[in-house]
Amino acid sequence: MKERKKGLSRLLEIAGGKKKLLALSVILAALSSLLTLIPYILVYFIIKELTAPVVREDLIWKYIGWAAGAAVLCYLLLYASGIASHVAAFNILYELRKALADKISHLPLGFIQQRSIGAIKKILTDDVERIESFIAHQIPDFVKGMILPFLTIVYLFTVDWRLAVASLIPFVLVVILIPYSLIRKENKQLMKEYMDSQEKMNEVIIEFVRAMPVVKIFNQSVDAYERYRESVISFCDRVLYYLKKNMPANAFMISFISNNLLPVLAVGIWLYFEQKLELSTLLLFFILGVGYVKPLFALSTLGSQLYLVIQGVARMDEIFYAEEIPVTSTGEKPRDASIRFKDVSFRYQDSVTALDQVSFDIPAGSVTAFVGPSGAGKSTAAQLIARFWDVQEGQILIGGVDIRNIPMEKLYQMVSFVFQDSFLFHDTIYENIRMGMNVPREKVVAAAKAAQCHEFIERLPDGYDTRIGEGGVHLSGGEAQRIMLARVMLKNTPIIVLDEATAFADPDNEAKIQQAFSELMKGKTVIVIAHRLSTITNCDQIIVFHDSKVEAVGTHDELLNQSLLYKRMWQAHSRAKTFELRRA
Amino acid sequence: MNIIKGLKLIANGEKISIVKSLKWELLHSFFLGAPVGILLIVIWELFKEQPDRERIWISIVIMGIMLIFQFYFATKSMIVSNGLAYEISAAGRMKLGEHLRKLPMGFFKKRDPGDITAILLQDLNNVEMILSHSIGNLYAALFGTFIMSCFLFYLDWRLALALWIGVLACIPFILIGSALTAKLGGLHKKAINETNCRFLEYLLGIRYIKAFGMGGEKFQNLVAALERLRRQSIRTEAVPGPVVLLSLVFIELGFLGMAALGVFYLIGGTLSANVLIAFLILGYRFYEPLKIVTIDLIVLRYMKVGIDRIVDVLQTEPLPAPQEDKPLERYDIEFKQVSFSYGDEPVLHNISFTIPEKSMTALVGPSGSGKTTITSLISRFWEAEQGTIMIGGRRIQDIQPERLLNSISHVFQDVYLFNDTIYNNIKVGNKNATREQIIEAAKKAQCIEFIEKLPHGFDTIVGEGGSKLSVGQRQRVSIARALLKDAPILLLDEATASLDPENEIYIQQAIQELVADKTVIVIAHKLQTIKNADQILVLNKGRLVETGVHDELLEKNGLYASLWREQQMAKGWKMDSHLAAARTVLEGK
Repeated sequence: MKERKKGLSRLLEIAGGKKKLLALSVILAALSSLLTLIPYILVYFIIKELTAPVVREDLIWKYIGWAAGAAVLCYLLLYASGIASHVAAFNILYELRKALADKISHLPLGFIQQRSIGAIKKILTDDVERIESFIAHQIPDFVKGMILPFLTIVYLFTVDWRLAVASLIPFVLVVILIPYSLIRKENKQLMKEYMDSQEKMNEVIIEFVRAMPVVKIFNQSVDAYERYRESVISFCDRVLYYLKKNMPANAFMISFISNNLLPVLAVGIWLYFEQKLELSTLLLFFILGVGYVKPLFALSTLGSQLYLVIQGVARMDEIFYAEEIPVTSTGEKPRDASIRFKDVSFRYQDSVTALDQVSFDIPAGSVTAFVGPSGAGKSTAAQLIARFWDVQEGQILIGGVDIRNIPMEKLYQMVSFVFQDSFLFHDTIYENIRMGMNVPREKVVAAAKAAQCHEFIERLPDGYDTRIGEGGVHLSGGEAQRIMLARVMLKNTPIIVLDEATAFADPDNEAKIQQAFSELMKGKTVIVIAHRLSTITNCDQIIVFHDSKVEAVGTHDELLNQSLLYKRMWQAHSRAKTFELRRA
Repeated sequence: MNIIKGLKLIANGEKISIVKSLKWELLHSFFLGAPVGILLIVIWELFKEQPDRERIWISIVIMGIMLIFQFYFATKSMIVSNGLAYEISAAGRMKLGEHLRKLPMGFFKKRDPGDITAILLQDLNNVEMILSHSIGNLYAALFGTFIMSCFLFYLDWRLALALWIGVLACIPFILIGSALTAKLGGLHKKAINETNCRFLEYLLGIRYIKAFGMGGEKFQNLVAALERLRRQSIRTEAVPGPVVLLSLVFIELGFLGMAALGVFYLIGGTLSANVLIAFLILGYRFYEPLKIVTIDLIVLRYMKVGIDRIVDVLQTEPLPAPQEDKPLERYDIEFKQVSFSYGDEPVLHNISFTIPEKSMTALVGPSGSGKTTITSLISRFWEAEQGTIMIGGRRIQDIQPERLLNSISHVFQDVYLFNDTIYNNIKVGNKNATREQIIEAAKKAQCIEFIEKLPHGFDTIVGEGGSKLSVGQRQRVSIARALLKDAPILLLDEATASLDPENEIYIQQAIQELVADKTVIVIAHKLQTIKNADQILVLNKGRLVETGVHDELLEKNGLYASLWREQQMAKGWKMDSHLAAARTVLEGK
């Protein structure tokens, strides 16, 4: 396993993808910096001419011309450098996102299931986006920030080393004092209090807004507002306090940076009067020698911005380095649509045990229900059949073949699932049912009819060619479910894993969805995750899950005798079914 | 609404001393620019035949003293102007908070809480950040440039004019550049949104994409969107770039033009070398603050978007409330020809009914028929456009909003709990309740069963929104809350029970406790549950189509009857075993 890079070196590794372009950008930025210096130097020459005994006008005109040329060229190079770095950045972003999307398609389905989709999307869009700022802005800015002062000071040293040293004095002072002030405990404490106060205020604000509906109903809005107001004021006070304490240091820095004029002037005048320094040299230092260190201090904000980018990259790498579903194929073919769990144990990544030594057999063509309290493991077991994750111990066999030895495409040709979250693509209804399968239109319509959607589809403006989503139609929960069922019917796999709760998703359409289910189930091996026990009393087999284990297996009547848990669940359900609200 | 007006609206009412900040900035700018003036004095001396050394050294010492003053004023002005920025944003937050408190519930139902939070946090944060930096820069630019301009004009108006022409020449480029940036920025945003959409689709649909082997096709769609984003991003950078840089080039050329002009005058004898040298030295400085301000202007534009959002909220009207707070004597409810549209969509047409006090009324009908809207209107989440809604014989507009909400309990599917203990969350129902009353409410709401299994029992923290509890548990806590509140009117969505099939029976019992002795309106899906209602209102597409009790409605054989039959059929549905069926067939032979 390759050593994973972290932090700044990882960022540089990412940037390295477009080494050449970035190198070009950096070189152009450096050249541009060099050229910014030229007009100043030329002005110095002009002044030199003007203070000479004989003024050579033609030379001055030449200098002005060159200065103009340098200015134009400088910005041209700056532009080119910017373009180069941005193109590099956007290309890198493109490739990162593409690679991430590809990687996701190779990850176990359970990976996405577990994380919030919103969080993953944020990584793909926002976190990756931040890398652009590093590549396109921070790298060139860093170069410019360092090169210009450096070139300047080198040039100044060649002209007069004594004045050059004088111009550096404040800079040196600040460089010594800053780290000192940063390290000082009091400062760190202040910083921490400031950030804590801000975080607290943020929390209060978020809760204030989210709780507003409740707060209004329970007439606590005045109290809630008081809490809110307090935290806003407290944060403001803390900030002002922090500013008061911190500003002197800040102001000190800024004052000195913008004012190395004093040492330059003092030393310069002394040299001029006592050491025969040339007037023009003195004037050069007035022009160039003052404030050239400013760009360096723009770099100070770089650190905190970098931190954010690095965090984003770390999140992104979680996806990049996640384990993919191992693809092996022994070429064995499942002999039928039977399913067997053999001593299966499964733990989620956060080491919560979901299944513990679970074993059972499901004959081909039978209807089996998984029941049990929530968290008992029934949904997990159902998802494992579709290989949402790989198990840690034991085996899951379909038709006698371990599902890890069946290529994923073949597995999906055997197993379909219908879960509660219905999802339709921004495409036509026809395509949403067809899902890329190579089948004639009649089959698609037949599937829609069997899934009880044909009627409502025909009532839509463009029928089967109606688009779903933005600019198109939005279907109700129940209608979307039936489209999903049509998909699954069209696919016609021998094994179906079904969450019974989907029927109740849209109470208006419950009956229709049930009809669709019945059609769907004909002749297949069906596994139902059941919530309402009255629907599964006729199943061939009911498996009762409890605390990650299989507690009992049998038909409805058998279980009423054998399993206390099942009996209790059945009784609760029966009572709930007949419940009538009464005016007491 | 421009930025200044927007800021005033936000900060209004609090004592914000913008003038104070101005004063310090002025002083700071003076001492910031003073060294340059002293420099000029020195240079002037140096050009004389016999420079007065003493004068020069005194000037340098003065400069040293001024440095100390500058440091002092820099500190003061930065504290004040930064402080000002934070004070404005704090004032803004409080004003917004106070206003939000008074807005009708409908406002919150309509918006994503994330949006509102973003305004309070991000938008005001941006205002802070930008104001705390931009104020200083802006003032420095204005004053510094102004003072320096005056001086330069005094020295030689022709060259000073030349410098100004350079500034004016770059303005059109800045304007064009910013317009281009805005336009391309819009296109860029679109490309970003499209990419986000495609990503979301890819992620949400990944299981189907894989299951149906569409990986290739969907992936290509995504890649195509990424490619478009890439190209648009580059264009957004590349196109305005030259324009902005051109403006900077013009500034440079402006300076050089001034230099050329100066040389020309020098040769012609109308200008002395000293003055020209002074202009050469000062000229670059002249442009510094302006360059910074240009960048700030672009950033300020950004801020305007945030300010507009804030102003939009502040300008939303709160509910008109009556002056007096007269108590209610009865709690019967009446709708008189009420119509309501949600935006352009008509939702309710001419609805009229009466609900006697302490009776139980059920609202039934297909989804979208208007049931939830009726309960929302009773609670005055929205204001009905036509018709009147009365409680206890009074129009709800004539009831104090607090009193109205105090008289109504809500039990709906979306439950929000505070990040606090279960105990405190129940206590929200009545902040003056005793411990016994709270435990009693929990008991009746069937909460004890799960609370005793929790590690800290009643003191267990439930997480933000109640995330640490299951759906069914949250429901029961919310019912306990409503029991404690004991409001005379209850609005209930019966579907809450089915959210947690395992605990359905518990939630049903809790709801049964809740309906005692109140005016109850139940939104019902399972008709079985509300068979015994005193009155059933049947809605379809926003109209009241049938009213009556259960048996009457069955006899009418209308919508209610057909819904009932459908549900009975659905209730009896079972998943049939194939093998058993086959066996039966074999055995039957």
